Amino acid sequence: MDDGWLKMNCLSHEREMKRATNSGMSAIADSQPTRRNFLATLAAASATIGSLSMFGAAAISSEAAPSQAASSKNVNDTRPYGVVSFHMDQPYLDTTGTAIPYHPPSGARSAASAADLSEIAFRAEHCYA
Amino acid sequence: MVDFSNQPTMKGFFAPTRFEVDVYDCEVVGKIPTDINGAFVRLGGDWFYPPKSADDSPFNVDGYVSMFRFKNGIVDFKGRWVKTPRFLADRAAHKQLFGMYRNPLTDDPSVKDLDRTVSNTTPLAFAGKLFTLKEDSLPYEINCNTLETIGPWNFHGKYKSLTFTAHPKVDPVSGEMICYGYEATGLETNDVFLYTINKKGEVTREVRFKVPYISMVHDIGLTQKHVIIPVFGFVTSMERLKEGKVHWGWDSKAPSYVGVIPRDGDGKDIRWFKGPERATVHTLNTRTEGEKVILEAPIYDSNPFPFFPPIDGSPWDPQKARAFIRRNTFNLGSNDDGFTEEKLFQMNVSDLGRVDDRFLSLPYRYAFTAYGDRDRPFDEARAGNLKGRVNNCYGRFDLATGKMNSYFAGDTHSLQEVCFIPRTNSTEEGAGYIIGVASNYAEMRSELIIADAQHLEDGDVARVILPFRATAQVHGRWMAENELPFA
Ligand SMILES: [Fe+2]
Repeated sequence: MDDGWLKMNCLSHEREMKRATNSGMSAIADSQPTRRNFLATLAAASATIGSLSMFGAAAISSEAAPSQAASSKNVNDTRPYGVVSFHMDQPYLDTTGTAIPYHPPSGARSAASAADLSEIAFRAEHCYA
Repeated sequence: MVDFSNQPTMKGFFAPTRFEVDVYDCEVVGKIPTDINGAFVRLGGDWFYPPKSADDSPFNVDGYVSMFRFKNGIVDFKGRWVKTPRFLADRAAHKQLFGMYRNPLTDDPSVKDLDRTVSNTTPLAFAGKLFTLKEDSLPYEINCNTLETIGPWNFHGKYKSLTFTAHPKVDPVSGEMICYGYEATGLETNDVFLYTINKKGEVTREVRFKVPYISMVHDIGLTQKHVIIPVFGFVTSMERLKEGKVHWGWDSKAPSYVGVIPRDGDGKDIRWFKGPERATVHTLNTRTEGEKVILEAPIYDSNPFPFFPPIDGSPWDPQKARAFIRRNTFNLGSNDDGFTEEKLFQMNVSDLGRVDDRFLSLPYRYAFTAYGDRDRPFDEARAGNLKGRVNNCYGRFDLATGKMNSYFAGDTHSLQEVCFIPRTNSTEEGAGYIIGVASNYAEMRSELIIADAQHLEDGDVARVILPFRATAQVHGRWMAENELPFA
């Protein structure tokens, strides 16, 4: 995974937290669902409708073999387990399962498409951008 | 089928904008000054169909003309493709029929002998007409109210060059236009035809001369007595074209030449001065002081354009592709064919600079251009990582004191070419507004900024918000209410 992305991700997360705190929204920030809670809720809902297997791929147990996945986990089990999520086609692995879900920054990040272009590739197409 | 998915540089903010547009009563933050009436006309372009070759030049994109129309504090925006024969032929075929930049030997045989221009470089208002310009063909006349294309214009048949520059100069004293075409008698010819056209749009003078080698003569300088013709490092040949290459390559061993010709002189009166490897793509201003002719311009050390690669196979050097505002002085009283060069500011800038056009060809003090200030913030989380490749400021460069005043566009923005609007009822140099389009990478939209040219640090006077990305611009020009038959 790209270090820049991780760093950006963290900064963005901190920014959102700071924004929530500064605007008197600390209660909201505190009550945000964790990945673990989210998965537990998801698993419970899935169990109800009998289609747990479709969510199995979204969770990787830190203790059980991947094949056992979330579907075999007791919904009352509060031990953390890892979660893979995706943002803008990049995988994000939270091994603690306790982090607050990632919120993308409010900007469109529309220049990101050029981030990996070399100077020659960038200038070759956007010399007066 | 149109498919841009395999164009790695045309994503996100840089994806093709393929539509025509009308926005009435644009959203404005701030208040449009009541003395701004007329139109800011922009010309640039985009690929309507993907290029035939991945290494083609972006200068080969289809022309797109757009206009911010200012009237009594209200702004409307309009954008139209320039409907050249080439654009229409591609549309009829539903694909790109044209090959490399200025290389007709790479075209589909079905468009042989068709005008290849995309007319995508500079808008011009002259003698009551609006034109789009590109240096490989004649001007295309455009309806100033609808922006629909009328067709090529040859000044009542008196303009004989097959090509017309994207940088004609209008003398603020006489109102005459000094213009020219290079490769004037056809592809790979070394002829330049230089014209004077009066205020009524009539050709009054033609001078013909040859350049030391065939090169890109993109811009010139005009003084009250002379015309200055920079010739530098871009070279071409029929052999290149037969090999299917783009029109220009860069020859680092080719000397720079600068021709100085009296405005009342003939072709034989041109005097060529010679200097080291440089690229003077655009000029700021020029003047004659006694026996000295002085040119000020953002000048590159070497090749600014990687898509016109070095002919010796060496890699393109981004370090040498930085422009610095410099002064070249040519002494007509000396027998020396060299000239002097001074670097006036140590910071590199965009070479798309402007002056107060009322002082073109005359002594002047201020130049305006964009630049990137790396000490200003850039919000990568919201805008995306561009690795500092933004022009986030406009500067007013005081050539008398060496001072620079700065306007900052914002922490998710990059600025296109600056333009100057003189304040109504003021003759003071630099009294007026600077305007230009900023790309807002966080909001995925374009914004027209308007700032007081004498108080750049104060920031926006007003900002016009477009709810989309405006097609990219090369050059833009301010056209006052009385210059064109606006509705
Ligand atoms: Fe230009």
